[in-house]
Amino acid sequence: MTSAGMADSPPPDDETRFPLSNFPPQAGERANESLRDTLFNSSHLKAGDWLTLLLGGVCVVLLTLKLWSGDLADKAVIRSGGKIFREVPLSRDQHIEVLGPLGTSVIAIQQRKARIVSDPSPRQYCVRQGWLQQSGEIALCLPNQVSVELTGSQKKYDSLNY
Amino acid sequence: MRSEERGEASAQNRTHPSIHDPRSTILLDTTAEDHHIARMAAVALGLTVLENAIPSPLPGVKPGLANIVTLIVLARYGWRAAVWVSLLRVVAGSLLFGSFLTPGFFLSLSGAACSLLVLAFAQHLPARWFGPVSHSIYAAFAHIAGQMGMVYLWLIPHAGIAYLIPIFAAAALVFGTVNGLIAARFMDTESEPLSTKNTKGTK
Repeated sequence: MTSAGMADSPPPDDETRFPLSNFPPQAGERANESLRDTLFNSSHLKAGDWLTLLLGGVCVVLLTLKLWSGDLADKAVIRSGGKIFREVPLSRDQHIEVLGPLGTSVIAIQQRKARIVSDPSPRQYCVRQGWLQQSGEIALCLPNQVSVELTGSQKKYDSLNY
Repeated sequence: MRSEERGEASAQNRTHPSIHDPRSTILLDTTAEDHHIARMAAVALGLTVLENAIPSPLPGVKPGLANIVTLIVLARYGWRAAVWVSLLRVVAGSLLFGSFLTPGFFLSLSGAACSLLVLAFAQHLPARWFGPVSHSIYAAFAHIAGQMGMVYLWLIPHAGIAYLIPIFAAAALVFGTVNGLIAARFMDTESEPLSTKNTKGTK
């Protein structure tokens, strides 16, 4: 029976039937093999390619370490109308009210984070920005001319304060 | 596909001049290279459309499947053809999605231009040690660099976008490698051009 079953099975694929002889794979098992072949066939990756991969990996790791290790802020600088209104430490939880041309902006400091709770600006961008935690982060309420910037131990330069 | 058909139609016109109507047709003199480029750009365009159907966790993180075509064209027809295919894909793709001359279009354009620039140098790496995977990774990183540069200089001039760079760089490494492997896979089994294979396969 088994031998008969074997004889009934379809003949192997005619390699000339489809121009790309190895693609797409036909049976389920061959599909897996083909995918593995595509991704890990050593002939596709030459020595220089491995070097490039390694270089790219190192690049990604270095970029991540450099850009994501922003030191936690310890001070919030609140500005109103371009002048420094107050500098407050993040260690103490508090609410601060700042008067701008449109009304009062309320700034909250809580658990070493800061945010703008309410603001009279029409689009509420600074309120929707949410909590600021890392040094260099900044929330601007332009219509009301109020901003909160977090600063850390060392001053970072960016396009705004350079 | 349309440009493919058009290419064949004009080829027929050239062989049978009596067919085409001289009053209504401006016959462009196309070369075989033009047809290759049009075909490959059409394939790239198809992949762009396909890719846009894939949801992305973060705007801007895309596999860049069309770059597989660019890599194959670079290997087979040279850098000039790759520039044509890549730029045609960007422009025609933006027309398809209605994003021509929008910020998104300029982002793709700057990314494509940067990766083509890098490919111009990368193609001269010794072929014994460096294959399409290397080209693909360098191009992917250049693509991201070009886009981030554009975003920073034009759209969001704030240092905060630096926080996104590691995500984009990781995506570039992963997708660059995968695209390069796929391109290598297509290249190593074929001695004849992909375009003729494709047309044979579809007929």
